[in-house]
Amino acid sequence: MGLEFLYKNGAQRMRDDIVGPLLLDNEYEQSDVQEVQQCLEYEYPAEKWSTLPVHHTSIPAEWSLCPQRFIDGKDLGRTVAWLQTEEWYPIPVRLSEIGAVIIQNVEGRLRREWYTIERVVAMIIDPFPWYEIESFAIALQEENLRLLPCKKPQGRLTYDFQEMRKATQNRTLDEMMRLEKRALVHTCDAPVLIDGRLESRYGGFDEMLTPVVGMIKGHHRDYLHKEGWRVYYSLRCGERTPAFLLKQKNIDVVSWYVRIDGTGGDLPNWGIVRLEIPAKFFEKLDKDWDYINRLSYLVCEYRCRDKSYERASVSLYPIQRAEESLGSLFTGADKIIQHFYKLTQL
Amino acid sequence: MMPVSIENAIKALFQLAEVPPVTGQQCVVPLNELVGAYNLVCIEMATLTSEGASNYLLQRGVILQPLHMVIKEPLAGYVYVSKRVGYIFVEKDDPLGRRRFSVAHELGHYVLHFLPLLEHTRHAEHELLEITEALTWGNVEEEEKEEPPQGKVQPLRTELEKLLPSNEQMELEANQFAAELLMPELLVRELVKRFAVDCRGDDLIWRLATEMMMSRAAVKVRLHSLALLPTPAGVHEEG
Repeated sequence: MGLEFLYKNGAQRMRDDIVGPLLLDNEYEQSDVQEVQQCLEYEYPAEKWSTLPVHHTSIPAEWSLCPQRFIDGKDLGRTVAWLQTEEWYPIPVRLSEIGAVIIQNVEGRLRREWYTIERVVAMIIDPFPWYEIESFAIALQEENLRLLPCKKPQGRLTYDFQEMRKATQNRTLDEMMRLEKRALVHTCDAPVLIDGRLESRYGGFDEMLTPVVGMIKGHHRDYLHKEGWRVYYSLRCGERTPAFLLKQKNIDVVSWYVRIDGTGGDLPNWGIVRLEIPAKFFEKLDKDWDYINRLSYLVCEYRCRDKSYERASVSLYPIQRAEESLGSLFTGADKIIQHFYKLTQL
Repeated sequence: MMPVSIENAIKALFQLAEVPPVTGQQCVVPLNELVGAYNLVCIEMATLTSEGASNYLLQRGVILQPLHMVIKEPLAGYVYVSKRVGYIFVEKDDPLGRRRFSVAHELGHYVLHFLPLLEHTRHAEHELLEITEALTWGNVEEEEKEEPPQGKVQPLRTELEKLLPSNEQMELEANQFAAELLMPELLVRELVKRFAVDCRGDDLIWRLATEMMMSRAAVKVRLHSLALLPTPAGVHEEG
């Protein structure tokens, strides 16, 4: 059967993804959604929360904990086809090119240090005969494509196509984060900043030894108390909130918000990012608050000043470069999708 | 009856099926082609029981009367072998990786235990030689359960039992056969060499599981058995 699997099971092409209901935060795999306990009085008690300026912080020229490496990942793909099971459940098929890259700052010049790129086909496979999927996976491997089995959303099949599509997309994002973890391993415990949460990249670094910083652009959870939100909304460019502790399944992190960009008249949360560092590493530094101030100052300095870039207000220049660098190595979605259609006779 | 070594049995199976050995680039073992080499028929059945398998065989005229000792206990796999035919049944609703392992387990019984018995009794009077094996995985909800499945071999003529190894030994061998067939040592070592450089702990298991189309539990057990499971990065003992 091989690559004819899709055709013989009545798969149909799909045009560009039509994004229906809001996707689950793309930082989270289904299994990743979990309880987080926060300790907001980690740096200051609630009544003493106030904005903390960092723009006067000085950074020694030879600061050994200064992140000189930046990691970003990319998942460029879409749902290209869909088919149905015997019980008529819709099964989306997502084709993605995923990758991760390390950009290193060498004396002020950014250069690509390491990267990896893969092509994957993600779909829920359990409703199909094992021998058909096996043959499909073998044929895909011959074409340098890897089949990624997806979990059923909430552990069951559903007739809601968007829910199935979301589960499939989350699977390729999850695999992209695994590539980012591989990138982290290649930094060999050197100071590094990664675009995203540390919890999702746990295992790629040593929480006791690695000076790793996670930078989160989106705000999808309510971590703060009332006082915290007051401080959050009164942040000005170059100011941070007090730090707080987040206890998670895999790793406890110390986190805080910092406004890296802020021009009058913008949205109230414009230019605010959240940073996190491993709690164990920070405690090994005897809770050196200067470390947090310096990191905050640094991200302000590294902020993306290219206003033509869509997410400039919450992006760092090295991360933007990382994204562009990876993008230039990708083949291009249209080319891959057309090739896939040809291979699968869709 | 001469015992068959697992390694030789797998080699012979690949030769018979004219399937080249898997490589680091083509890591999914074509189990269906290997099963086909012995003309075994594979059936996926929802809510599989030995009774269901017996009814299936009856309806198709493979057997003329219901099999002995059939029950309604849920099974992951079931094999029926006679001098003329062989049928492997698997639970349709099991996760795909588990289904493949169950099929390979039953194929292991066929190659290691039933085929030698059929050969041994070729000229004997056992016209009605029939053997079955029922396989369970314990709690079927636990996809990543690490304990290997267990089954019970049942020759339909009790005098044949003494020609077979003990049930425990046969189960052990069938599980070993399935693991070695679907995750050949050379391939696993090659993949570990390629990915262990930067895939740590659970990520290495995830990676190998998708490369070979196996469950993570099966990969974990295989890596343990080959002493290839490194300590995850960032794991420190308290104190």
